[in-house]
Amino acid sequence: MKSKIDFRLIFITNSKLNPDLYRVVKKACGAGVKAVQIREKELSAKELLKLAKRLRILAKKTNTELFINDRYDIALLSNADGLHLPENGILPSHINRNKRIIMGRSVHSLMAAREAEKNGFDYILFGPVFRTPAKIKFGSPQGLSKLEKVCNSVNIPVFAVGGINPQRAKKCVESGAHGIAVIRELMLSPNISKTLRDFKEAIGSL
Amino acid sequence: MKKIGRLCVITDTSIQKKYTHVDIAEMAIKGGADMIQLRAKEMGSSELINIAGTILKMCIKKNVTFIINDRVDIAMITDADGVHLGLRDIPIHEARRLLGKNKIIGGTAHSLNEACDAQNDGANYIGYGHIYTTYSKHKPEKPKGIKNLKEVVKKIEVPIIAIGGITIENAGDVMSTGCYGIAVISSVVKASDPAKAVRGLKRML
Repeated sequence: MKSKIDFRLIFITNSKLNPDLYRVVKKACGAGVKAVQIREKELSAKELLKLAKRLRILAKKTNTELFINDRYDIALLSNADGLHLPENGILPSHINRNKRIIMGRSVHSLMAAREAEKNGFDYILFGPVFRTPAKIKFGSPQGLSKLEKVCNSVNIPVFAVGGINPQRAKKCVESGAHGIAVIRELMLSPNISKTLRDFKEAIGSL
Repeated sequence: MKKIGRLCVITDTSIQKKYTHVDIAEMAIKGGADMIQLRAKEMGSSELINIAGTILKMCIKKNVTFIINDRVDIAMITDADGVHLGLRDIPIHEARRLLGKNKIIGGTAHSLNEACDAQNDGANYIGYGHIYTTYSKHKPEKPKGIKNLKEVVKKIEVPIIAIGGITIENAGDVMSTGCYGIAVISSVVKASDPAKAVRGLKRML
């Protein structure tokens, strides 16, 4: 099982924010992103597999870890490095972990964070830490103090997600987060290399 | 590989809210269906695994074949008998890499060409339709009709399971084309007594 999480920034895709996904991911990989999660809920399985295979080839060139959201079958067929699960997703116990696949989970509470660790997930994504348009419907953000509590309560890497920009990324890491996950800030960036440099400066490494 | 059923009931909770997936499977098995297809596109994986596990147990007891729509991963995890893949799902040959040759993979086709493609891609059966006007799914195309079905049955070697608007009234005509079996949704889940509806269809095969 691969469990060493040596990246600190996960770039999560959303082609609704920028339809030219391939170009954005290519730029991000070229600028040093170490982990990309394909999260395209609107795509059919057929389209998702096609996209995942294209991005697999791309990510390989820069040694970027490729994650698929939710679909274990697509992760296997595209040779992804990891699988990222929503709270209603599959568990590590469901699959044969000999297949060296990193498994992460989204959590929205301290209890869920502890449970994810107990269930054998390699890392968690906790959020939304800050206000973000995508998650407004779920109510108030969690805030830095809750993030800190979660980080102090589990022994697996915690990535902060939700409204993360370079300044906030620094605060998250100071609160104990191993790293951050970014969607909007990169998908909408007019200069991806510069945005990534800013993140790197804020948290030490990508 | 488990035997491909001739009377397949597809669970559906979008065109009706009275019954759950498990309810439909239970009534279908009681009525004599020999294949159940779990179709729950909107459902989260963990719930799907639970429901698939429950239905699979019921199917094993009665020697009924159990397949899952779209989700190859859920079929792997629950050890279901196979999957049914639509044209927008994972390609059949890719699914075969994950499931091996002992699992059933069914494909969807709406024309002779698509049926040929599915056959060449390694489908174990083809769901062909829609034969009659159906209200289960929004279908922009015209129904295929019996004549077209007959031609497909003649030209395609893998079993053809007819789907779309099949009822107790027209099931006899459908089976007279020489097709392998039928798949039903509305005529079962919308019936006042689904188990009885399945029993009626079973007699027509």
